[in-house]
Amino acid sequence: MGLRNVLARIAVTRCHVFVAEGYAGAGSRMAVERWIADKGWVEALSPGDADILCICGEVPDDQKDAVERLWDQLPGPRSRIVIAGPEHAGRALDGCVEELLDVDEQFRLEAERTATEPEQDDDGGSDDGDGDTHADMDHEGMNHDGGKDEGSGAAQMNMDHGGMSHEGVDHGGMEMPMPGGIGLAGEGKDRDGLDLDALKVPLGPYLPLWPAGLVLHCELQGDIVLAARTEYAFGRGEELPIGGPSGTERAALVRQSDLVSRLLALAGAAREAAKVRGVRDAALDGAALDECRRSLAASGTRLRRNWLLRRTLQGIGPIPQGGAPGEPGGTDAWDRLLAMLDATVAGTAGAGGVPLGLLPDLVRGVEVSVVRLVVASLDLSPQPAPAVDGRAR
Amino acid sequence: MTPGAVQQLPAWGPLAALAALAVVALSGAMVNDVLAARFSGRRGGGFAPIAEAARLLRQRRRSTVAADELLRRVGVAGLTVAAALKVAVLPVGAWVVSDLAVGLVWFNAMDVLVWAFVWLAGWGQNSVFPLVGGYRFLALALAYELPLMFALTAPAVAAGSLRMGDIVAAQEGLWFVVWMPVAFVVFLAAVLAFSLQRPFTAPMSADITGGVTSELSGVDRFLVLTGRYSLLSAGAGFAVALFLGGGSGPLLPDWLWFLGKTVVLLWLLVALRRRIPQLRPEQLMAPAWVVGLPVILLQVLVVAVVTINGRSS
Repeated sequence: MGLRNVLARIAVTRCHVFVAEGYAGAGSRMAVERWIADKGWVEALSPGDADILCICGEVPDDQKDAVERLWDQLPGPRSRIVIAGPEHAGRALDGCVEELLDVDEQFRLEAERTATEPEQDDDGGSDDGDGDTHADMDHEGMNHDGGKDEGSGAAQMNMDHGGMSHEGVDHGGMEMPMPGGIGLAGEGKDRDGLDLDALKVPLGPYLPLWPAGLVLHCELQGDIVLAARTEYAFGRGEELPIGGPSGTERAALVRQSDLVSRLLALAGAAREAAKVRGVRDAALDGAALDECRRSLAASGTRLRRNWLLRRTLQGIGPIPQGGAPGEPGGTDAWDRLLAMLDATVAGTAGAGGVPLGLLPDLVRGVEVSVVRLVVASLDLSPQPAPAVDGRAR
Repeated sequence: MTPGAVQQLPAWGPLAALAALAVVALSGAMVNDVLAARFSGRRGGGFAPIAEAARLLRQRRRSTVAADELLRRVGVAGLTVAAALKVAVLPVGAWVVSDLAVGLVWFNAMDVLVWAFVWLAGWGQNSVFPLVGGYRFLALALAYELPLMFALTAPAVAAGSLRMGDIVAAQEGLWFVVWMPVAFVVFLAAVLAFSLQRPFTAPMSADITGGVTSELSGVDRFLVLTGRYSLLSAGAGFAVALFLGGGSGPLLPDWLWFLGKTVVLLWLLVALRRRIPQLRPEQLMAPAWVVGLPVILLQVLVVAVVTINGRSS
């Protein structure tokens, strides 16, 4: 047991946390991100890489199933926590560390988990692939006909994540026409009119560096988006005001710098993203707004000189001139990034969100990385009215 | 030309080479985390790779539904294996594990194996994002491989041999980096590319939730992360042998010079790549073939002309 304990002690100095942002969870998410950075922990990009599942904000009842599925994907030893407000982040995560350190309990839970899953496999019949209820559910979104439980199929960030087989458990469905009980991809015409496999993949709502609650149902051919449809998994309300008298202005700065750092992180400019995020955290702490604006202005100057970044973002997601009022017509992602920064520096930030209807057109026919950049370049978070209901039916 | 330029190690040689590779790779990972910690205003950070290893070793291994286990495991373990096989022909001072007559070609072959391994790791998981990551690596590899091959040609032409020992020996008077700077730079860029470091991280980037690594946990993830740093370390070692005079240097024994140069170059690469933003996968092809290829071909031409003149005179 000694070695186990030592390993656990060393391991928890570098926990990986998967942050799932629920309804009105932005404040908590920022507090958690901050805690992670201060401790030298890591934000997991996928649940498969995480020790801790951290749910920020509220998750509506129809999303509980999706969260369970995220939880299933954590390899373990694992711990989960719901953060109700920014002030609870530190203590809650400390509690998770305690759980991870409880080696005996973790060992018991893992043994239980390993023991129950093969049974489930055998439940449904002799074919381990078809009988695996996990596999069936988790690959819902892949069935061409949409499946019977669309709400939860959509809720996943990647339906392939789901079902796990463990050592000794072989989902050996290779010989069957439907490996592992997964429906095969359908066909669709590609950009050149050729028939290619089309795979239905929902992006969101619990995806790192993604507007919380947004689901983009994509039809993928390879890594090209053939068609897409948007939906909100849960309604969104006004952000809670932060700080005292200058509350709204501060909130705007925090939100804008959060958006900028997200776009930079997705564009692969990790250093600049971290710097902008530092400004965001300082603003959350109540630093002087002028100070924050100066730092952001400095970032803007550095970014303008960064030709590699400009190459990455220029020409991405161009919005045609002369659309509906409020649309940033005639801009691409690079323009929008700089505009976001400039507006924040000038204190004029807080223009309304972009109509969601624009998104499917912007992402049609582009590569997944470009889709992510397009989404991050638009302020899709503040949707005051709960848009489409999460459950399609 | 001179088969006796380096001395082959006895049976413990491979173990020593593996240990050296592991230590050098660990030093690279530590430097990376120290830099990361300093950047975010924390102290320390050098312990982070050890903590990460402990975390992954106690983590359960998971796999996806209907994954192709064989191919997945081959791909996941392959990166580290490829790095180890590269190091087998690398002369550390006067010692080498295997003094192959075609050492340089061997290095290149192992490098092409990395294509297969990354792609198999992505394909074998039977999941969207790893597969997209695997394809992205192929797109990058197609772009960097040809410039890399020509960059390797330059030292081979100048030394008149494909044996690593001969190439090191040919630099006794003048390091190749002095008159082949373009080949050196292209080679370093390719080293960053085949070890999946920035700016070539698109196959495992955040926009596809970690791509090839997104479904990996436990020892699988450990092997991939180790493989990346091992490949980077092996690449730094080859850069030293091909362009920076191998183990030549005053006073100290040549193996120490070799390791010293390798570690310094590795740290420089680690620090440098932290500052470069990532390229989108489709963005490398045009610069690599339209700019990189002609430039490196010119370099090879210059090297060939100089070499032939030198021999005939």
